[in-house]
Amino acid sequence: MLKSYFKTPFSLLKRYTTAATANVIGGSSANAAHVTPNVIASGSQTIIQDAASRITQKPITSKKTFLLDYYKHVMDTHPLVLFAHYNNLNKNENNMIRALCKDNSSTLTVLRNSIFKVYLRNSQRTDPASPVKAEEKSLLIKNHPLNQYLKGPTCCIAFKELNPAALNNLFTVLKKHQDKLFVIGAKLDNESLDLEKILKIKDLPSKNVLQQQLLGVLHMLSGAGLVNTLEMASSKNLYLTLKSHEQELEKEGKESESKE
Amino acid sequence: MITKYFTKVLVRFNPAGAEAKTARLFLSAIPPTQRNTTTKIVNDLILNSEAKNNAKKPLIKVTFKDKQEFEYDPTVVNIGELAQVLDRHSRKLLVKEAIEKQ
Repeated sequence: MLKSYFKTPFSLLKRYTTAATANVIGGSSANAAHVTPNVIASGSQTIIQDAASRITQKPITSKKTFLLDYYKHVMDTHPLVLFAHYNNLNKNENNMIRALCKDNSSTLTVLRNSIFKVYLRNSQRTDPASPVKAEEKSLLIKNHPLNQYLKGPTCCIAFKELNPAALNNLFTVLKKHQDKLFVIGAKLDNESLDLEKILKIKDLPSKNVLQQQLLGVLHMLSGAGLVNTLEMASSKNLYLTLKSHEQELEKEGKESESKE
Repeated sequence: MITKYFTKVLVRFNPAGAEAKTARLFLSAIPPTQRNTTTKIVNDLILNSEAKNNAKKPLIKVTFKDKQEFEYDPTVVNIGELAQVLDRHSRKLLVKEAIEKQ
């Protein structure tokens, strides 16, 4: 269970360890920061610009660094992340709830609150695991709005895309198991949502349906005039404009070649 | 915290409020096997708008095996204090049970 739960990040950690053991240079620097050469984190969206010399506060192979990277990956790549109270569950309940999340295209991760708080504080920085430089101090977030949901055993349920139908489904099933796991807050894009807003979002139709409804309203209001205008712009006029622009560019190119 | 004499637990709290810590730690102190057998847990979440109107007030209500009820406001007490008070009654029941067994 544990292996599948940490599937992606474990492979990531493995990569760290192999890279670290293959090229051990110097070890740790003076101010307890650790330098590890040739670390590539392509598995997640972890932004490590200069992968060749990544400096981290904790050792690069430590679980703390790994969890920080994993939390960054979860928060960066998932538009909707629900935070739930994760009451101590037995094995069957745990498996059942994890399977339920999987059915609704989401993954459940139990958080280590202290490390997640470190991530939240450092979330504006490109690499939250690196030591804070003097000029980066202004980027630290003291009271992150999500901090209020980390007062007890917490898990996060991350959705790869915002699908209100899946959210609604998850909520209806979780309602039966209210005493085991219940949602308390969420992150949508870069905004923190309270329970009230989540309940509103889950009753919305999906994005496609909303777009169709908007189109329908536009059609009704303008008597097809507006829709026609938009269609014209997209199909004929835009094409002609671009074509003339392309021809001009070609002309300029030829002129510059002849000059040379 | 001795939880084995709880028969019914009601926890009402706002997850974004100051009472969340006590309420959530109290909920997680009850073992999962007990939840499935002897203790019935009800949690009631207060929405932010309800908290503003004072429509619902945070509450932890515990009913013991001997039907004695305890009510506390989680905004005022922390988990340590709560555990202390509840344990006092639990220990009474513990002694009572030990005497009855002999």
